[in-house]
Amino acid sequence: MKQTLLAINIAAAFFLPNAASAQAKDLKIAMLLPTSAVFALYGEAIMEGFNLALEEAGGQAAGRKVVLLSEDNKEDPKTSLSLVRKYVKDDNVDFVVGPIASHVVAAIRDDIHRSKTFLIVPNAGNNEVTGKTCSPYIIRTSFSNWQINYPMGLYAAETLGKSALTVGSNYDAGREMAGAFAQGFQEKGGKPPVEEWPALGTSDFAPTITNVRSKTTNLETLWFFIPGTGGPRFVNQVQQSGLRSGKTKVTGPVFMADEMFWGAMGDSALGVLGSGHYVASIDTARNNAFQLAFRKKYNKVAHVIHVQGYDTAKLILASVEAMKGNLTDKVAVREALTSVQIDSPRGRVSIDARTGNVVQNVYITEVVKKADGSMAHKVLKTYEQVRDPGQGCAL
Amino acid sequence: MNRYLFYIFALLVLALPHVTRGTQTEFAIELILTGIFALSLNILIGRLGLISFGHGMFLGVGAYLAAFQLRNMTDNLFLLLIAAVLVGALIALLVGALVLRLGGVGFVMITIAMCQLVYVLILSTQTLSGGINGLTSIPRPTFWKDAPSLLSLETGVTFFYVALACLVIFIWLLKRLDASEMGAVFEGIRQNPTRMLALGYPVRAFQLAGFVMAGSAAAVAGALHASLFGFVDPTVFFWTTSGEVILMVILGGATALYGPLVGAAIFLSLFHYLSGLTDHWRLVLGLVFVGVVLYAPRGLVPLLADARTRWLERRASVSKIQSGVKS
Amino acid sequence: MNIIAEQILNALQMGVLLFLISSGLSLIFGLMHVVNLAHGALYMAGAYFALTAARLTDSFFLALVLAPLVTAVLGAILERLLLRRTYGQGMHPQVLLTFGLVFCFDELVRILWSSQIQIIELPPSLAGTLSIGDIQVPTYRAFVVVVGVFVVGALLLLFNRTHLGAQVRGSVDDREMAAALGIDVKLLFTFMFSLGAALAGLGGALAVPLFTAYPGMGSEILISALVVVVVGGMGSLVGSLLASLLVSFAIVFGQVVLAEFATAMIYVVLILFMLFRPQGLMGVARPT
Repeated sequence: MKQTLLAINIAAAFFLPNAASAQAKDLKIAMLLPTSAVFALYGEAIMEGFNLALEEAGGQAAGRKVVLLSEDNKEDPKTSLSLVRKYVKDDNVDFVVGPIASHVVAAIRDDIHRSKTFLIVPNAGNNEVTGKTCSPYIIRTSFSNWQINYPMGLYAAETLGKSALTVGSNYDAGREMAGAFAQGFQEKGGKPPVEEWPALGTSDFAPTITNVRSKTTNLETLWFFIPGTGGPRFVNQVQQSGLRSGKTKVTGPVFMADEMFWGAMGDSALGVLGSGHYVASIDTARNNAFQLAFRKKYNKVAHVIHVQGYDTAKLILASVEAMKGNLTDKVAVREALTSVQIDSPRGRVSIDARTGNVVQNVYITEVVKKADGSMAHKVLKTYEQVRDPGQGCAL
Repeated sequence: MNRYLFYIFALLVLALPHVTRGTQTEFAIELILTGIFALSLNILIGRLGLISFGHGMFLGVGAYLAAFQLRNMTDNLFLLLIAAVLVGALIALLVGALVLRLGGVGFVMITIAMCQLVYVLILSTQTLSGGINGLTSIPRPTFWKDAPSLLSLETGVTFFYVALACLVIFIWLLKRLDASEMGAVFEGIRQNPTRMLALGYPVRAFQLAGFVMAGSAAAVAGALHASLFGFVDPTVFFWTTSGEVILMVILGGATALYGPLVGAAIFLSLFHYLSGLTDHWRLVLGLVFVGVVLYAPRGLVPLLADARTRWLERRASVSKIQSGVKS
Repeated sequence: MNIIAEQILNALQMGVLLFLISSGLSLIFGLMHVVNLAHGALYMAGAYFALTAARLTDSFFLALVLAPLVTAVLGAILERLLLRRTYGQGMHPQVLLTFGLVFCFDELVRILWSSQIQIIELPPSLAGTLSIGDIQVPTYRAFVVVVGVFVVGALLLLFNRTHLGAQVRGSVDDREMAAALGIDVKLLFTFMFSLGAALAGLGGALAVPLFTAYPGMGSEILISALVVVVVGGMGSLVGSLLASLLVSFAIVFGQVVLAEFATAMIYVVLILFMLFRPQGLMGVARPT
């Protein structure tokens, strides 16, 4: 009996994996994303892009298998904080990816920083994330509010005319975006834009539109940013009001009128100018290949949020490869994150070594209708490698 | 028999923070604080018959108070609790004097409106109140300066006991209220305010007293809540927060002392754990509510109490029959 | 001067739209005293039914007819199976039930129609603008006003001039008496609830081209609808219309003067009314 047991033990030692063997530890990535409520759309999109990149890499980096932990954070600060604490304390994750909204970043920032866990932000755009509240452990692969709106100001003053009116939702992101536009606009000789600040949560913009009509007769540039569902609403209502019959150009950050919202705008979106870091219509070999692969897997067109998720995965995987799977030296990991090259569908992309924000091209685009009747973007101008100054970042 | 069960239960509760891990302890604390919040609302709903759809206002008052006080003034725990009680009571006094003029629907509506008004005001005053992002980096309060690390509220265990102590004290106060003359007057007002007026009772004053008690208790819950999570945001003032706590009270049963506590525990647990099981947790949660209404319209605690009573009666009648047969 | 006139027109059409959105609640909550927190969910259902109907029939007008009908059926089912069990038990069960339905509806919409924001494209006849004097008015907004006036007229006719309307008013005032007189109160209540649901659904369908359709759109309008019903006076349709106009004027005024606080105006109006005229515009003052 004893000999049989011994034999079984020896056999098991050969065939079963052993903790002391050279097999690498799993690479644990926590996905702090919403799958319910308002932001579910964004959460889903990030996951889809992320998963495509994982698939392309064979689900591993430097021999370490990627394990995703994900639970609906409802894009709620409290839930997100609990989840982050769980991921950090109980699950010992290597990276946290998320969230969507800037106010959730604000809630989890201190815990992330204190626990020295790397947070890769795939969406939230508030300037302070890589500015006033920057941290060596926070990297952002999406954009900053300043970064994508400043070039539109430059373009509008140079190309469209010297007078503009901004309609921004009255909250921090709205003010940051409008402010960046105004800054660029005035730098190129534009007059200080007239400002309209509809309250957050406004659904009917008729009074705002009337205000706009009253303040400028020969409006050249109407810039706007209303978050979420408000964007398409505003464009539709502007279209219905006949405000665009003159030579007024409607402009804004590109996600006001991009692939995600075309279904909600129909023909109202035609002719809207956008500034942003990605559109599906970018005509490069790299992007075309990416769109093909995405369409094959998901049977739809990839938009900017998908790319943000895709690039986030690529960044993490490339950094882990560069570190040969060893993530214990946090300073070295940060260096890797800010120095690796990732082949992004949006063009050349790198992470600013100081602020942790992405450095990328910003494209000025116009929504057009293709010969086959589908919508697309035409790239009018490219601003190369725009870098957010990271105002207030003490690093 | 009951005594032993109670002691065992108490022991389990006391031992809880030592067996739960980090985030589970925090969840347990959140359960206790939400329980206090729901119990405070039931002073209005269950005892006075006033359905306040704006009780989140006091939770928010306590939370933002904690944010200001802990960040800018003092991090002393006792001062925080005292301030919460006083400020909560004061605001409840002012608001109550205004809203208690109305009954029924009017009362519900004005409480919603006041809460929403505060929400919108906070959203628009970015710099002072933190606007939509709220205020972060709220430190944990301390017992006294340089208190021994065993008493530090940084650890879940100590915080748990502090919250538990507050809950126990509050329940004790509620029991005394129910047994007192004031409690009887409350019940009378709930059943028929006109009759109480005719009997010579200053109904408005009693309602105001109840309102103040509910408000200060909710403020304490809010202050501790803010300390637990380290941040506050304006969603506490949005009508859904007040709506959820009403749900908790109704779910557990407004007529039972522990009803709101049970309701809060179940609601939070469902909310917390369902989302880990399925992406469609909202559907499940909604179905649970519908099910409770159909099968336990007075709430879960009365349902269980009724079931227990029926079981005891059946046992008593069975033993009666048996002893009857024997003799 | 033109701008003021244009803003007044804005307020008018916003008011009528708000009335249409709230009319269902005015019926169910104001008249029947059923706490229907799922009003917003029915509004959302109407919007999505309209979306699907427009896709299937390729006609916006047909969708406007079909959506309320389907929502009415949905309302009837909910009333018979669920809501009926809560009558006479006070507010609590209705609050819990309707809140539960809101959660369910939100998720069901997400499952059946996806979380994407969607819209119905207006037919060319409604997509342009009309000129009223010097002012450009979107044709669709004018259309909404016409629909609103028609609905008010039809409802007033129904409740004040028909036998059915008298039965309804009687049943609400004194259920037992009405039953004793041989009125089928149960059927009547189901009919009323369906009508309220249909109106909510119509509101939702009309709102889609303006506000888009998305899960959670119901919660946005619920509070506004409650305010309108209460400020107008419980049980008064004309009151709801007047209250909608009042609230819309307040919001527009807020947008023009203090843009940041515009969304607070509706609550200010409610609070002022509750303090100084709690029975609402057209309600009957009850001794406290």
